[in-house]
Amino acid sequence: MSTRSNLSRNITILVLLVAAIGIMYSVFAFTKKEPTVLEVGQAAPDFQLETLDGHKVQLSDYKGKVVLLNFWASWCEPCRQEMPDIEKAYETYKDQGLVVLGANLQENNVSIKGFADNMGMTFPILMDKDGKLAVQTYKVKPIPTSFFIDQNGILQAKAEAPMTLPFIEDNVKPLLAGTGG
Amino acid sequence: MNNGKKRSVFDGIWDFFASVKVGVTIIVLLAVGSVLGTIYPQTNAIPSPNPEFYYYDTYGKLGDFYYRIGLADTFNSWWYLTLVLMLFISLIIVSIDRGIPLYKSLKRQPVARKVIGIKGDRLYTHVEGPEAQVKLDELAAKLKKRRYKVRREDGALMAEKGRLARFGAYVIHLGLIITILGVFSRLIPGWYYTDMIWLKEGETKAVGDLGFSVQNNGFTLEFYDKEQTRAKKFETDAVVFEDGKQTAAKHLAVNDYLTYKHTNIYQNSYDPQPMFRTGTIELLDTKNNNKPLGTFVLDFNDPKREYKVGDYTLTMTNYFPDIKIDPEKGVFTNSRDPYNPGIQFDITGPDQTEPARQWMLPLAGPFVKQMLGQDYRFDLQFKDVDLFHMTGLKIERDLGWWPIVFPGLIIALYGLVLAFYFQHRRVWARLEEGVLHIGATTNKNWLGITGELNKVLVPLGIEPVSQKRKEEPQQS
Repeated sequence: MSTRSNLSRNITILVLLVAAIGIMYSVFAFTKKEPTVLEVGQAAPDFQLETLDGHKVQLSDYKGKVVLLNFWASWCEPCRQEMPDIEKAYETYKDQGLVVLGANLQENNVSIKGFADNMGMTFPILMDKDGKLAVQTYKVKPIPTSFFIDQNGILQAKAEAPMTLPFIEDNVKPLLAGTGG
Repeated sequence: MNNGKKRSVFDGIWDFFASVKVGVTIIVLLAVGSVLGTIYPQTNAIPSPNPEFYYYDTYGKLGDFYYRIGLADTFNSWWYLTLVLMLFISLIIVSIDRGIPLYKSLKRQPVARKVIGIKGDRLYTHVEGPEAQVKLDELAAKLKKRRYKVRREDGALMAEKGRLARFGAYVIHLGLIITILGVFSRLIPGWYYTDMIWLKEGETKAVGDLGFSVQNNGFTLEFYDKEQTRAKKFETDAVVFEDGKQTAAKHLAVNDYLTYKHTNIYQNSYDPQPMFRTGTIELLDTKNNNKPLGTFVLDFNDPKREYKVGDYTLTMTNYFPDIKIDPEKGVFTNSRDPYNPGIQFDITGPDQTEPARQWMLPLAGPFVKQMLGQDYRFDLQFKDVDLFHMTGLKIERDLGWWPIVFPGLIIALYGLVLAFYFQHRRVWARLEEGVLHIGATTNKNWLGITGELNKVLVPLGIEPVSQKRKEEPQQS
């Protein structure tokens, strides 16, 4: 074995191993596409949507208020479970500056109206007709998902499970007490 | 390979991958892994989006273990990929380690071999006499006719046929290397995509991030029998949109697919459970011998809040597209798709002080009649109803298949044929001291070369060759 062929053999081995490790790495980078999520602490993406009763609503209109943005659908059982508590929280704290926006995923108006009447929901319901707000803007995976947004439009908390009234209060009270910048 | 020098790590790695034993072991392990992967269904074939729970719930502890070691997605598990990559490295190193020396030694073959070597050949004959030089020339001519590559030197001949057959194994290696590269080409962004999309009629959905969307422009379903058990055909009018413009359209049927931007769109399946599209509903007055009061058309995917029928107004107070009635959980909808609509109307009219509130459940008519029907003021009947099925399209893009994987497989097949059905035959002749020595060798099928040579030798009056010393190892 001359040193020359030894060198080329070693280079071959190195190239092959590096290629193999590179392929391996990219396989796992490829299959484990971490879904991007909205992190607490970043600004809540602004949006404009129509409500169930035909108004246009823009998130930035609520600067200075605490916003609870809840993604729901009437076919989702946990959503149905938490809805009365969200409504209760809304009635209790709306005078102190809490806004609740219930973004409905891709259902028809008549169904939503019936559901809201049965539940006695009084907060504005956003019509996310194509699901863009949930999927693209807010990267919602399970529903219900809720975001707590402070007076400056910053995401302060996130819940990916049905909430109870105490849980909502624990998140909302400190935000309401915080100065609205 | 070790000539007394210290062995380096590189020598160790090289010898490991150059070993046939290791190569065969890797192939066997790949086969065993693939077999084990068939015990339970793979993750892409389970009726649940949560494999981490499904395997434990369905197959218990063993199922959980199965999922954890990656067998539930065999081809993408770390150990399977490692084996494939090891095979890839092994194929390359083996080919360098043995293929290149073989190539060199065959290239350096002498025409004038030593007589002692020729005499040692498994097939050997000789002829003496003044004719020897003539016979050598005739032998060369006859072997040329038999498509041997004949090389001559003074008093010597070397004829060779089918040298490529010796490289059959390396051609197989090359084919497999290309195939493996083609499979991994799927990692290049945009090269590989596969998905199922479900479309209602008129619905448009974006296809992953490929930059276009597909619309279902109409779905037809026909059955062989009245009971609708065996589908005769199901076809979709598919339209492709890109940047808001229609860019392609095709009537898709099973095995008749649309190719758009190297992406195949196949008619794959349909949802056997129909949905309600529209219905023409007649309002009947039960207090008046079911006198028809008029009709209205209801769009189940986009219902209106109010419908006018003659002097009567129907207000939809509740609409559950897929109604479930549960003693514990009450009334709710199971999905947003109108599989099983449940509608609650408030009906007001000239002869009513109070709105009549009543349900309409098309798939549970008798239930409504029995449970609630006694005192209903009105009756709601379908005059005409339009059901539809969702179509299931399979989207597939694999840019590596035709240019890389397919040729790789063809090359591997060609290599198999070379290795198994072709032989490398060599004939040497040397004239020495008036004796013409003829020796021949092959890498396989000794019977074949014996017959062929004798067809050449016998007409020349040379004693036919016969095999001898079978136990003797053949040389390359």
